[in-house]
Amino acid sequence: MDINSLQKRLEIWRYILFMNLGASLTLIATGIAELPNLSNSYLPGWYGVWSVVQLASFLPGFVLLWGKHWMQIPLHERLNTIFGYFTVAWITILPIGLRMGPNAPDSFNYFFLGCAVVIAVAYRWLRRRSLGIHNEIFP
Amino acid sequence: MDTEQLGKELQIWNRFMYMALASSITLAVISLGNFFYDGWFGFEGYAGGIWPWMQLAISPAGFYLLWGKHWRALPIPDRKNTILGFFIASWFTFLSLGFITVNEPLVNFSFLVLGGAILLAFGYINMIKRKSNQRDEMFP
Repeated sequence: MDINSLQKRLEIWRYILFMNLGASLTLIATGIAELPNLSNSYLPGWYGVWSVVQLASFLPGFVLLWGKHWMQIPLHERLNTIFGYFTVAWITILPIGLRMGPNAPDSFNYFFLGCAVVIAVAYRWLRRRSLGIHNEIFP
Repeated sequence: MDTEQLGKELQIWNRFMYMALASSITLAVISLGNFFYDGWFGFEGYAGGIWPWMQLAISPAGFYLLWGKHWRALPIPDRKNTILGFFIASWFTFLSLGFITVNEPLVNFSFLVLGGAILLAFGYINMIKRKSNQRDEMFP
C-alpha cells in the first residue's frame, strides 16, 4: 500500500477514534445513571456493548502501532492517534468501575491507575524516540 | 468570520458530529435491552438523566449549523454532511427514547421515529436539489 492511501486511512482512523470516544462517554453516562440503583442494576446487553467499544478502542491502537504496513508512516505522525485509542480504551474501563461501585476491589483500582501510568510513560518514551530525542548528554 | 476560519471551525464540529453519532447509536443499542428485559427500571435513570441531555446537545447543533447567522457565509454543500450527521444522531437519540419507553408508551413513538426518518430524507434531498438549482442559475 502506498503512503498516500495510508495517510487517507489514518484520517479515517482519526474519525473512528472520535466515534469511540463518543461511545465511551455514553457508557460512562449510563454507568453514572445507574449509580442510585446499584443494588439491583441489571442492564441486558450492556456488557456486550462495553466489550465491543473496548475492543474497538484497544485493538486499533496496537494495529496502528505495530501493523506491518503502518510502519511506512513515521511514528510521530500516528503517535497521537495511537495513544488517543489507548486513552479511550482506558476511559472505557471506568464504567466497569462505576457499575461495581463501592464493591470495586482494590486490584481493579490499581489496574485502572496502573494503566494510566503505563499509557503516560509509553507515550512520553515513544514520543521522544520518534522525534529522535535521546538522553545523551555528550552526543 | 471569514470562510477559511469557518471551514476550520466546521472540522471541529465534524469531529463532534462523529462523537454524537456514536454516542446516540450506543445509547440506542443499550436501550434496546429494554425489549428483552421487561422489568427494567432504567426509564427513570435514562429518560430522566441521559436522554434529554443528549437530545439537547445534539439536535440544536444541527440546526445551529443549518440556520446559524455566521454559518450562512459557508455554502450549504460544504456543511450538509455535518448537518445531516447531527440530525441522524438526533434521530438515533430519539429512537433510544422509543426503546426506553417501550414498556410504558407515552405516545406512539413508532410514528414519530418513522416520521423523523422520512423528514430527514426529504430534507437531505431538498438540500441536494437546491444545490443543483443553484448550478443551473449560474449557467442559464
